[in-house]
Amino acid sequence: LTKAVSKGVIHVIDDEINIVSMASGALERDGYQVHSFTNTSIALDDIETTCRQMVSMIITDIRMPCHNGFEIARKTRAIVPEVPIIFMTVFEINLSEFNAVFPSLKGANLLQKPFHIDQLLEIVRKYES
Amino acid sequence: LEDVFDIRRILMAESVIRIGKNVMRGSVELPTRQHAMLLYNDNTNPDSSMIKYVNEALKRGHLVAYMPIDSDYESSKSRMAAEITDYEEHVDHGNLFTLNSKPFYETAVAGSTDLFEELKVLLEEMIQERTGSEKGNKVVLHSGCAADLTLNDKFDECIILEKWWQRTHAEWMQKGLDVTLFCPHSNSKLNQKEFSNYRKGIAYLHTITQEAIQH
Repeated sequence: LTKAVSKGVIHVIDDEINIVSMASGALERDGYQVHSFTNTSIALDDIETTCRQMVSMIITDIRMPCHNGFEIARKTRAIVPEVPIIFMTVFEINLSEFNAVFPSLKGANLLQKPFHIDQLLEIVRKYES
Repeated sequence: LEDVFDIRRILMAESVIRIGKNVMRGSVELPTRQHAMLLYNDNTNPDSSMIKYVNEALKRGHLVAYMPIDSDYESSKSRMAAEITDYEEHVDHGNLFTLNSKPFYETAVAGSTDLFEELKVLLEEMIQERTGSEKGNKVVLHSGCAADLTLNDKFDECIILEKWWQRTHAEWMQKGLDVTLFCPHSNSKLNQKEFSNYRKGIAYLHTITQEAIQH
């Protein structure tokens, strides 16, 4: 991955306000710059215009109104091809199966809900190196 | 008029069962673009019967999303690895996607379809991913938790779920998506006299009813 996560903006997107608050609060306390959204259209607008060059990671729910997490991931990858994508999901999904089924989202990661803050930070820090 | 339509649907479903009994011996008949009620007879190891359909779909180059009947996901994974032909190769090539049925069962017992809504998004995205690729866009989904619901006498919850699948499958057909959905159910359980109305009600919610091949 070309850009260290800490040098850019992490976008946290989920239609559940509690998840967004918990995740963005934890990331900010850990020193990351975070843009958080419960509205997917506004999130996409922010990614496509305001933050075009600053997007360093997308952490998104899968099922949301208007735009699902896959749409957000694909549209972001069209702008920033190697941006890390982390899907938050209620499923227990085998990551290698997921990556094989979704080759266009190469290297995407998964965070199973409900998750602990430590799990979130651990997965984000993996992209720091 | 709706009642007449219902009765016709039930009779049609029952006739398919009868036809199925004659036709299905010896080979795996894989319906296409159907919401199929698949009646299995092996209550000790029902997933082995279902895996025959998984193997047939994989052989034909379809993408298979498999939610086992067995709610013990670890033992299911071992069985899948042992009984699905070229299991690892299919996983590596993105032809096989497995799901743990337990959380789906738990949400269905609570009368909710929330988790299934997310599964719907996931499946539609899988189809989009394959569309235009040389793999083709035919998808087969096994919803194993339907069997658990009937086995545990959760018939009303099962009907709620099957109605949701009926609507979802119809929506997929309208969109032109090539999805075949298998809902396994225990034949011996639903053959019990006291459950005959449930059997008819559940059959009515499917586009086809067939008896699973014995293994």
